[in-house]
Amino acid sequence: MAEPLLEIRDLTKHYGAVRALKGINLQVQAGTIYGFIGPNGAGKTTTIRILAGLIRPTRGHSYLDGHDLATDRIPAAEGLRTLVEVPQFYPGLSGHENLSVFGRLARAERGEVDELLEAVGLTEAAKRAVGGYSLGMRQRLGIAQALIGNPRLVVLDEPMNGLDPSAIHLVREIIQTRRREHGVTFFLSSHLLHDVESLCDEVGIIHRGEIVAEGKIDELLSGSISGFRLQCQDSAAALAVLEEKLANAKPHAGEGGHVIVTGDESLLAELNRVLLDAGQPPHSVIPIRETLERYFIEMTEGVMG
Amino acid sequence: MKKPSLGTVLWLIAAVVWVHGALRRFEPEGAYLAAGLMGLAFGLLPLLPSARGHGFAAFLRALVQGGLPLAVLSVALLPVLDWLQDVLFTPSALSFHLLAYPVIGVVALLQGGCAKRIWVLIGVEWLKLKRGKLLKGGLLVAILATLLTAWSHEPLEGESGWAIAAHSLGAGFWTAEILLLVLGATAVAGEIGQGTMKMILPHAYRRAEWVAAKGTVLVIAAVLFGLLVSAAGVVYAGATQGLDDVTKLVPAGFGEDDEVQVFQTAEVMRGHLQSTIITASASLVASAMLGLLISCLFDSLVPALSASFLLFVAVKVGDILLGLPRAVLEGIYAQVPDELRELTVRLGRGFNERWDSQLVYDGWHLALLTAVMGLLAAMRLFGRRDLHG
Repeated sequence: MAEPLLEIRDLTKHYGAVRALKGINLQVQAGTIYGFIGPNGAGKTTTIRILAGLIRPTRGHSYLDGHDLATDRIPAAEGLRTLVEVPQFYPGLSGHENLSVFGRLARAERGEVDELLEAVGLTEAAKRAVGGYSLGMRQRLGIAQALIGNPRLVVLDEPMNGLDPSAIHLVREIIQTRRREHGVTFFLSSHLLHDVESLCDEVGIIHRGEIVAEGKIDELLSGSISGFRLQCQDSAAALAVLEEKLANAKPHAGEGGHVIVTGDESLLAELNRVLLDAGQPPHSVIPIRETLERYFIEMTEGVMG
Repeated sequence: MKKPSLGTVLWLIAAVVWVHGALRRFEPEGAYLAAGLMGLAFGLLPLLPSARGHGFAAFLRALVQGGLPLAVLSVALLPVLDWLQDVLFTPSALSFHLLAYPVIGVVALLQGGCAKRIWVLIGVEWLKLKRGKLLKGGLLVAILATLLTAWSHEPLEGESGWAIAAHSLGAGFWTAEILLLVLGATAVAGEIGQGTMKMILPHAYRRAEWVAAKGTVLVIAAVLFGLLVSAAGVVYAGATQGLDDVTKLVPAGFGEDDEVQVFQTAEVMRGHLQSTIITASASLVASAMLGLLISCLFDSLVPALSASFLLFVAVKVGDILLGLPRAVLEGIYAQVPDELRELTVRLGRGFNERWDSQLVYDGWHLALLTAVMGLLAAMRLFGRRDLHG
């Protein structure tokens, strides 16, 4: 496996007696979109604030391209952009001027400011003072500043906050395009698990300052089959057999003539045997996988923010 | 145990140079104590986190390996600085210290290669200040205060335009000092409170570089305030009363004509005015840097501004505010506050009274050392704290 672009090792942060992070470890490969999810107060923002250099870890390290973000910050932060919580800008400056400030800091090329303003749909409002922007407009400007200067890693903290559905779609498109065309890696925290599931390749679930699950979404959910959807020649007969022989699997009729049973992979062999014995071999057996949301609730003991 | 970095040693040397400048003349023994304590702190503090929780033996080890060597180095540096000042430079401690800081600064720049980054940051900071209302509004208020004082001053009989200039400059610089303290106090705390600091700090710049850039822009602002206030006062005085020789009409004796006696020529007065403006501008820089230092300690504007005003009041009227006897104040301040106030008043009031060139020298020295101390401490403090705003 290639060296990870971002690596977090034993990252720990204590605020007095409060242990916000308890030695977390994670790796993000270059070119991926990594979802960082957890209930409120789990340690997401603390982690992102450490990556952004706003707070110092009590112990542990985070490396970007092999450079320690705390002790070797300049080369490490060259390719890093972050958006921490609700973005704030200089209210007296226009959107264009604000983005130009960040462009100068990132040593971006001249045309990039206009290009990004267009990408986030703020060209018309570019000359207006940011003080008059709505939350959604500020959020889009925040996304633009996080992309300026061709970063390698973009860390976004709740990037969909305050956005209407069309803006959420726009941001999702931007993230996918930047990843596809520029190879940008994204590390994003979000409460919108549907977005995380559709956007991200990998997720890390943090709970009470610890990573409780990490990996590719498909792999995490593959071990989480919650039932099966069956199609048989005679659905009513198959349902009757299952109700008699496999009552524990709670068989019931589903939409489109399907029969639904509840259970994991261990149920599959017995299910086949019962139906074959009854002369009702299934035409198709489709596993019903858990959604990321259900998996998340399971991993975080139902504590959802 | 890790060794102190070159950066830490440079910071320490800068701090000891400041101790040398601020205390050596007034408190020779105190300077050794202060230098030793600074060295101890610089060496010990970085090691404390790793020693914490490992018992008293670990603390002692940190003290012996980190604190004591740097304390000894700091104390040993003072006689070296004495020697450098005596042998290599003129007897003026001012020029020695003024030269020492840029040398340390250049070494630090070479070490970190940060000159280009600071240049970028100065551009960004200047853009923000230039487009904000605080600088423009502040300049307008300071100029108005200067002109109003000049306009409302009723000259005594025989008083020249120099008196109007002195009165109006006194008021203008006093106003400017408050405004620069506010500008300094808002520089960091304002940005943290506003939430923009979390947007800019993640970029590839050191925090100390941000503070250095903010300090540089504040120096430019202080110079602007100084120039505009001076221009307003001098132009008004010159236009209304003229800035000629300072004279006195000596009544004639029996059978003689009245005699016009020249106290000071206009040329000498212009020299005094120039010295006063430069010294007062240096004190503006010092105020801005103290504001910046305070700003680095707080996460929002209100406590930063409150602390700045308390400091301002303490420096200006420390004797009244603190109610301390003179002997105690002499032990705390290099110059007791009422002397400072007297110094400012005398410099401001003018030059047609007894001119004391030593006041200019002391004013310069004190203001620049305060400014340097403020900036260095701000860079150091801001680089080491968590930002939650």
